[in-house]
Order: sequence, then structure tokens, then C-alpha cells
Amino acid sequence: MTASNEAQELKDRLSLIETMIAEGRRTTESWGWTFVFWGVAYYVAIGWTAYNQWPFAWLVTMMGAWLLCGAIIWSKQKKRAERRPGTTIGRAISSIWFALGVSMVLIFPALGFSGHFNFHIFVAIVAAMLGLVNGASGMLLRWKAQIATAFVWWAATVAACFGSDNQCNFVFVVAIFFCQIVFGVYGMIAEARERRKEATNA
Amino acid sequence: MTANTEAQELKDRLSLIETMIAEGRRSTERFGWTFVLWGVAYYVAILWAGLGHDYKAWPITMTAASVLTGFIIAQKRSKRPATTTVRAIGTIWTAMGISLFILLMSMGFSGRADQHTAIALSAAMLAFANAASGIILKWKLQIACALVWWALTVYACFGGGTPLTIAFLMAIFFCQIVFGAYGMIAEARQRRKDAAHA
Repeated sequence: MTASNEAQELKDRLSLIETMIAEGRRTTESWGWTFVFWGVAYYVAIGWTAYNQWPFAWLVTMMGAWLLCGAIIWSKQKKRAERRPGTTIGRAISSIWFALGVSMVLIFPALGFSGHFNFHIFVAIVAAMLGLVNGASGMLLRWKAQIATAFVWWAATVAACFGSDNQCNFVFVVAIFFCQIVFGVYGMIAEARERRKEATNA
Repeated sequence: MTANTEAQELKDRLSLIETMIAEGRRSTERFGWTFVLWGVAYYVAILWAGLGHDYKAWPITMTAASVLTGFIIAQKRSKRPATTTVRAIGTIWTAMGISLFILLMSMGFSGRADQHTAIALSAAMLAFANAASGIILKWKLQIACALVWWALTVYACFGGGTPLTIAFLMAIFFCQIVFGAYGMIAEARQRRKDAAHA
């Protein structure tokens, strides 16, 4: 292969990566509602636990949220007539979230039923895992807003370990607000804007 | 765009994804040494903490292993731009490393970590990274490693004492040392093949 051919191949490859990143970012924006959905689910579980201290409030809320989220995704995919194959970045991001889901579904009930559970450990693990997925997705999509949410979650991990019960609760509620609700709404707005732009151009 | 052109575009895209997956798998094999290095680092930390009862054993060993990994990767870095798959795998392992480090350090220094939670967490995070990478690369062996780590996550919560330590040592052996050595052997074989074709 000549130097010129190789340079052209590298250029094509970089350009394709850029396109995939843009497409991946848009896909994440289209999933903005799930961030908001899970943020609200966390708030429901926190509120329920604070209201009557029922030990299974978290388990019931999270299971309900899983089922509802799954049903919404299923009905949305059913409605979509055209099915394009996903990009490599899209596949990578969905595998990241899938692996996180399995890890969370296994570790929390196991810790809970074996009696190794307390609120500080729970918040620290949730924050570390959400920091992990948002960090990985943000770095992959070169998306500063998502990387910023990862930093907020990592800071919440440290605060949950060293803070008092009230501080731990406060940090968790604030992190959910910024990293789930605000970031999710931002994604939804960006997606709606993009749709309007496409409709105007069509 | 006509249906024909669109079909061709889809075919090209799928073929490119296949190439990227193959390249990503080869890249993971090139990083086989990191699995072995971290497996050995875990063994050193377990031995040091067990024999010396020194609470600094884990933070010192893990920090040293991180620095050594970063240094070797910086020395080996290729000048070719990485494919999307390779970048995806890189970001997964980097983010996992940062999260696990912050979580275990914070839990350790605040006195909230015990044997059960520390092993369950480490196993869950390693399962996550192996599962995500394995799915991206469509690599059954790596997905099998993830399943082993997930099984350990559950066992770490209910088991304890010597059987739990043995289970942790075995998971490290199979999913770090054996898997890493397999990657290194596959890479060496590929290199010899490339040299023979050149």
C-alpha cells in the first residue's frame, strides 16, 4: 500500500469514527427519557423508605421500574417500522448498560438478603457504577456533559463513604437530580430540537 | 437514495463492523499481559494482607499495579489511530479502573469495607467489564469469564472465610491468569503468522 493510499484510508477511518460518534450521541439523547425515568424511580424509592421505613421499598420500586422500563422500550421498538443496523458505538453503549444492569440486579439483592446491606454502601455502589457507565459512554462519545455526570457520581461515591446519614442522603438526592433528571431532560430537548431540524430540512 | 445503494451501504457497514470486531479481539489479546499482571497483583495483595495483617497491603499493591500498567501502556502505544471497537474497550476498562479504585479506597479508609462487600464489589465490576467487552467482541470466552465473576459476586455475599478466599483465588486464576496467558499465546501465534506472510 502506498503512503498516499494509507493516508486516505486513515482519513476515511477517522471520518467514519466521527460520524459514528455523532450518531451514538444522538442515540443516547433519544434514550434521555430513561435517565429521567430512573431518576424519578430513585426519588420514589427514597420517599417511600423515608415515609414508612418499609425494608422492601427499594426492591419493589426497582423491580417495578425495570418492568415498566422494559415494557416502554418493547412498545417503542414494536412501533418502529424501519430497523437500521446499529453502529459499533451504539452496540458498545448498549452492551455497557446491559452489563451494568446485570451486575446491579445480582449484587443488590445478594447484599440485601445476606444482611451485608446498609444505606452508605448502597449509595456508594450505585454512584460508583453509574460513574462507571457514564464515564465509559462519555469518553466513547467524547461528550463533556456525560463525563461531568460521571465526576459527580464519583464524588458522591466518596461522600457516601465518609459522610453522616443525612449528608449521604442529601448527596444522593442532589446527584440524582443533576445526573439523571437534568442530564435526561437535556438529552430529550436536544433530540426534539434535532427532530424539528430534520422535519424542516425534509 | 435508491434501495440498491442503501443495501450496499448496509453491507459495507456490517463488513466494517466485522473487521473492527476482529481487530478489537486482537487488540484485547495484545493486552493479555494486563490480565496476568493484575492477577499477580491481586495474589500479592492477598498474600501480603493475609500474612502481614497490614491494612496498607491493598492500597499500595493496587496503586503500584496501576502505575506500572500505565507506564507499560504508554511505552507500547501504537501510532495508528485506534478503531472504534478498540476505543470502546479502552474506555470500559479505564472507567472501571477509576470507579473500582475510588470505591474500594473510600470504603477501605472509611472503615465500611469487609471481606464480603470488597470481594462482591470487585467481582461485580470485573464481571461488568468482561461482559461488556465480550459482547462487543462477540467473544464467548470473555463472556464466560464474566459469568464466573458474577457467580462470585453472589457467592461472596452468602459464603465466607476460607471457602470464599479459595473461590476468589480460583476466579483470579481462571479469569485473569489463564485468560491473559491465552491472549498472550494467541497474539504471539498471530505475530509469527504475520511474519511468515511478510
